[in-house]
Amino acid sequence: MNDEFFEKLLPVHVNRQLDELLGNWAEHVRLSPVEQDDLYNQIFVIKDLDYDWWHQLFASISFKNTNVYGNSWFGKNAV
Amino acid sequence: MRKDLFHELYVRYSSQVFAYLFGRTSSKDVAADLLQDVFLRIWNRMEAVEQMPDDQRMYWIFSITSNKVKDYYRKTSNQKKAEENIRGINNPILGGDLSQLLEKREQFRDLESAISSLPEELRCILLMKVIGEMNSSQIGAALNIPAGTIRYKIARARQLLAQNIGLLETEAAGRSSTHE
Repeated sequence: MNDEFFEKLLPVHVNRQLDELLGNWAEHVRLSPVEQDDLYNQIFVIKDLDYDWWHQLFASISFKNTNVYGNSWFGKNAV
Repeated sequence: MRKDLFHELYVRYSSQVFAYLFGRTSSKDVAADLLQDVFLRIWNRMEAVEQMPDDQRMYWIFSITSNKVKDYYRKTSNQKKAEENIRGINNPILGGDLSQLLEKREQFRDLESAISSLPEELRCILLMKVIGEMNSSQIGAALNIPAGTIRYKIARARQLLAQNIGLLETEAAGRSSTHE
C-alpha cells in the first residue's frame, strides 16, 4: 500500500482542500528561521553554564570564614 | 568539529523534533522549550553521537525527545489536573497556547479544534508529516513503527480531520444535490 492508495480514500478535491488548509496552517505554526536561530543560540548560552562554568565560579569564591560585620563593629559593640 | 556536527543535526532534525513535540503537547511554546532541552541533551552527549552510525542518530534523537515529553507530562500532570478542575475542561488537549492560537487566527479555528480532537498518536504522526515535512519512512524510522502503518495512520488522521471540519459533508451534500 503506497501513499497513492491512501490518498484515494478521500475524494481528490477533499484531499486538495485538506492539503491546502494544512499547508497554510503549518506555515503559521512552524518555527520561523529567527525563532530557530534564537533557540539554537540559547543552547550555547545554557550549555556554557555547565560543570566547568560552575567550577570556575566556585573556584573564584573564597569560602573561608569571613567577618561580615568587620572588626570595627565588634570592637565598638563588644559586650 | 563537534559544533559543526551539532549544527548539522540541529538543521536536519529540529523542525521534525518540533513537529513531534507540538503533536504531543499541542503547545507551540512548550514544544519550543522542550526542543531546546532535547538539543541541550544532545550537545551534552555529543561524544556518543560522534561514535554513532548516521542511520541510528534519528531514532536516538527521537528516543530522547520521547523521554523529554514523558518528563514534561510527569512534572506538569498535577498542575494540569488543577487547571482542568478550575476550567472544567474535559479535553486535556485544549487549553494553554492552543486556545491562544485559536483566538489569534480565526481562519484556523475549526482546523485546530479538529486536530486537537484527534487521538494523540494520530495527531503526532500527522503533524510530523505536515509541520516536520517528514515522509512515512522517516516517521517510521523515528518512532520505530513500520512505514506502512504510518501511512495508514496518516490516512486515518486525514479522514477524521476531513470529517471533523465538514469537508466530507460538503462533498456528500454536493453529491446528493447533483442526484436530485
